[in-house]
Amino acid sequence: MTKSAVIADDDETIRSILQYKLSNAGFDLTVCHDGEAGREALNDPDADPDIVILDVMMPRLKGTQLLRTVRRGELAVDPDVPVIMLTSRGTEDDVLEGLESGANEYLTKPFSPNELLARVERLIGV
Amino acid sequence: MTVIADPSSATTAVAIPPVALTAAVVVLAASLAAVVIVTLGYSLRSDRRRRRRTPIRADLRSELLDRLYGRDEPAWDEWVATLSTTERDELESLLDVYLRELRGRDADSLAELGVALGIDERARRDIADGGYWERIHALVWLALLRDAPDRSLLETHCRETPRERAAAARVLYAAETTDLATTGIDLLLEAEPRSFSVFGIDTLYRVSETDPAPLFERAAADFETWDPALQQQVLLVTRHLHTVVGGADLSWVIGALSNTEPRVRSAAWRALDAYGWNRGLRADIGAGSDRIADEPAPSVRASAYRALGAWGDTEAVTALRAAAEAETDDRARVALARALFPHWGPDGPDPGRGDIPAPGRGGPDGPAPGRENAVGSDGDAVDPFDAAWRWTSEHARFDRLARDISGARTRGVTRR
Repeated sequence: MTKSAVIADDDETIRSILQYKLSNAGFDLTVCHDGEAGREALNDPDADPDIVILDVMMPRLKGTQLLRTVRRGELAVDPDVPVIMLTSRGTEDDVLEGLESGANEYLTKPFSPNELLARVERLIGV
Repeated sequence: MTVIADPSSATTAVAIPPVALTAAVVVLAASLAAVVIVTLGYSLRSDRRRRRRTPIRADLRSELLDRLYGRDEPAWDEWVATLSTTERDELESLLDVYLRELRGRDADSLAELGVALGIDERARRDIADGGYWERIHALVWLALLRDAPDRSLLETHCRETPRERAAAARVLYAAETTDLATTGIDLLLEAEPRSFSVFGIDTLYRVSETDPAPLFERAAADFETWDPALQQQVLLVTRHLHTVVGGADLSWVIGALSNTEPRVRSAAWRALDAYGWNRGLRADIGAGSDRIADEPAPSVRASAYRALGAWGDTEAVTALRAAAEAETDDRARVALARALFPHWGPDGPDPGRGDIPAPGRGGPDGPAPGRENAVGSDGDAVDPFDAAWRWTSEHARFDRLARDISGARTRGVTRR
């Protein structure tokens, strides 16, 4: 069965790395350039991703705010969908805020795509 | 000597010859036209350059990712040998971007591409022989490649400015060298250091986080000789360190509590946030004594309250409650209320603990614990600390509400 993922990151370099890595791992991808586009993708009635990867600092809508709306069940996507935060904000407070917002994993940039893929596969039970 | 001014001179208009006026206008217009033409020329040239390079960059990016992720061996040397000068320039630019985002095996592999492009050798040459900006640029590249050069190269050529010191220490940090803490602190703080930029403070933090001992030893020896801005920065770094050294000499931090500069005293209090467990240190500070009450600067008292709040034990909370009676500054009162709230608010621990008298705590909107009688019966004469407490309480309630991720789900919001 094909796996799917939603990626929201305003950094083209990060998007290109994630696209390449996850596509090679067999994921169908929905790629968003900012938080609001991510919100629209996750509010699509057909949205059923196996995993969501969010940046924190994005134009129009922060990743943590978007994650809270997901966890509150305000969007069409399953509120329990696994979410990984991928961000440059790596202080203890940032990590705690990300996890309190409902993130399953919190990775900081610079990051290892191999580690990210391993965490994705663990979260979705591949 | 007396000078008598001609009263008519103040009102006399100076006549400018029309020819001179015309010439000035022509010169001005010609200058503006020249600026416009030059600007347009540069813009068109850079636009053409960008258009020419965009497809090259896209092709290189695709090839880079394909070699990085799509093959067993990226064969960087073979690839680099086929590239033109323009393509190599563009590839360096791409490599710069990707190395900043990646770590682990992928970053190691990309570092080999940097070696294939000859960046490491060029960087070493630039550090030894280049000017200031070439050295900075070279240090940035070596940090990205995680390639630490010989220490004497750094110590000899990279101490001109705080920026350069930080860039040199950053190379050691990126390369995860075993002498990071010792050599890094030497590079940053030895021989008449000056205050750092944000990048420098971040570097000092990262270097010290691996092992704070060299920083503490340096500060114990030299703190008094540093300028207040650098003192404040070192205290700021100390505050944020997660690695606590049990037997470290922190007398310099306690000494900084008596510094002549309020900003240094304030930073010293916050640097003590993580040392509530150290009873000996706390005895030396005398936080429960008159030290805080005698502090003239409200901002410093506020920092002291925050430190006591971070300690959060019975003794600290008792000191905070005592300070609530005496504090006269509005902002310091709010800081005090915020420091006390986690320990004495509705979500705090059981009020019956220890030797603290148990007040009747109200709800989130209730008066400050133990101060219920301070509120006037007509509801208008609100005790100043109680106003701060109510503000803190309301702030905490809204903060909880904003962070709550369960409310709507339990209310049964419709989903697909």
